[in-house]
Amino acid sequence: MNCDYCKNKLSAFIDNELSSKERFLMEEHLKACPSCAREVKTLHQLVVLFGGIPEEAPSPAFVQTTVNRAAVIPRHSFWNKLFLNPAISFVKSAVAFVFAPDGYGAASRKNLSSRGYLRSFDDSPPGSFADVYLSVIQGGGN
Amino acid sequence: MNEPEAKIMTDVAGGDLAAFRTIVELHHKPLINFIARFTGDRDSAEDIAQEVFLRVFKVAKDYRPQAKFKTWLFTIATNLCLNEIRDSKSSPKIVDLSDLYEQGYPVIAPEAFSPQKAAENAELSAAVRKAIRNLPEHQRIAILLRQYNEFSYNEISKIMGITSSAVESLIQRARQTLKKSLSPYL
Repeated sequence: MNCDYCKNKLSAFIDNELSSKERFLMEEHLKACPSCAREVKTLHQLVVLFGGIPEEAPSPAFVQTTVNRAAVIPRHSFWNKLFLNPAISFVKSAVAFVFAPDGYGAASRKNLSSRGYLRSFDDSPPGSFADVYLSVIQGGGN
Repeated sequence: MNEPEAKIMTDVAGGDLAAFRTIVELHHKPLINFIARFTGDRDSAEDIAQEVFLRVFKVAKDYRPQAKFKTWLFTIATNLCLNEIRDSKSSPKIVDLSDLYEQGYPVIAPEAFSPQKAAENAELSAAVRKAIRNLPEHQRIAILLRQYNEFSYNEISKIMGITSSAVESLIQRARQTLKKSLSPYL
């Protein structure tokens, strides 16, 4: 293990994050290298320095105000969620439209069919987008 | 993963406020300190911590006990901290002990109080906080999670969504920078 490699691994060494083999090699290197050994000592001092910084005490009301705020969060039941979900609402509307026997769905389908909207592209009026599109893809464009 | 939070979170998912209070009581102190050290702003730290806990309450059903609760909690906190930093274009405020005394916040002192000791501690605290605040965001997160919350490199990698070797590199670089900026105290 050389000094460059060792110095890159010193933090992992003092954090006890090296594998047992790497740790052994590091310890062997530190016995023989005063420069790296000094670096380890300095990093240990840094850790001690950080540990001596006092913690900040939270304000006494923190827990209660947090719980109070949670208490007013609306919590929806399964059925509420089912009815409030926009995707599910869309599916419900679509199902109602298609399968309603005598209501809006049936009347609308009949109405649309009688106006020819549900037949085919061939019935599209001359000059309409569908007409132009069909002529292009059939090779009959201008 | 057989930790007490797994059972408590099941109750939180059902809307149990007493269970939620337990979670807040267990974790608010390290969480607020992590956020305060990251943002450098004691007041916004409590606001962000509150948002973290409220998010926990809202998405409690999504929590899977396979993940360590603390790792999950700090993942949410880290994301909110990064959002906060990006949202507030201004640089974070320096918070030192004298600011906290003036704001009326109690500070837990590890040793018996003496004015000289308090002054030394205040100076040292301010220097360390300033040094941390000057680190790039990702180095700051990694070193704080390791130094004060004792997460392993593997856990930090999960929280930050990066590899363990990237975490190792971030911590190594952070310590090199801190070593230089805090050299008068070493």
